[in-house]
Amino acid sequence: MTVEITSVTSAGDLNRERVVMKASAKGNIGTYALFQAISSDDGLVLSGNIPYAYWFADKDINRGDFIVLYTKQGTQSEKKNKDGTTSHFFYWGLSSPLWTSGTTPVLLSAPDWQFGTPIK
Amino acid sequence: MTANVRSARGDDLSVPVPQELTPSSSATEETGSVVVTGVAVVQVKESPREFLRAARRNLTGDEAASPAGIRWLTHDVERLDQECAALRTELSQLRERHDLLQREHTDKRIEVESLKAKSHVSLKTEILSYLCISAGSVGLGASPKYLAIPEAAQFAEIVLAVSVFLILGGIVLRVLK
Repeated sequence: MTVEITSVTSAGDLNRERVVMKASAKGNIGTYALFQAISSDDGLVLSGNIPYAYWFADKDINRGDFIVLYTKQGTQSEKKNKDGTTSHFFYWGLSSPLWTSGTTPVLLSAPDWQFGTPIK
Repeated sequence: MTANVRSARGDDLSVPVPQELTPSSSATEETGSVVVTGVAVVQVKESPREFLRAARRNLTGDEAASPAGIRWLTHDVERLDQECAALRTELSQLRERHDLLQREHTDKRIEVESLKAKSHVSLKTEILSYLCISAGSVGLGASPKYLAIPEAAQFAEIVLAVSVFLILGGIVLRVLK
């Protein structure tokens, strides 16, 4: 994994709620997905039902870049930072805060996938 | 400040967030960001191999005939052969499983039909047994009165014998059903 979760910021405030991730190497954020997983009692996460998942769009990222996933609606954007890194902003498109008590963000590295047949 | 996140394996992924990267830092806030043009809110994902497929379609005759092109196409043929073999194995396993399930289904149907037939016979036996015991009991109850009457004694003895026979028959039927 060359991207790591650094924090969940302003949880509960839809306008500012976001998950902040940082890239430790060059890569493509499109090979990652973020789950809103359910926390277990012992501080781990539960597999099975994943209430919300966000699959990042393909985008090249460099070492030191920030990837910020806002819960609210918005348009994908980016900005250059003073230290030369870039912050990439993605938007989940939800209308209510996501990061409530009992939830845990899980970043999944998914470099390979396969499509099934579309259900008609 | 740390993000309290653990992986499914239990590894602690908590990462200390540097002071300059705290939530108040502009690097993690959208303020001042520029919309990425030409990007839809929802992007259509393609299979990780899709670019290879497009490249294969665009190969010219000369490119395909070059040593690299031949190696690539040979590799692709081998990959497809392997996939085909794997799918054939899977299909064969599924067919075997299907046959097994069909046999099991047939066996179960035979078993159900057999149980239905048995239950039908059992009902008839039950009725017959009930009738035998009832008739036998009536005969057994009535015969002592007639035994006391000299004119009817012989008839009463026959009724008594038949009643005992009927009761025994009824019990045997009930036991053997």
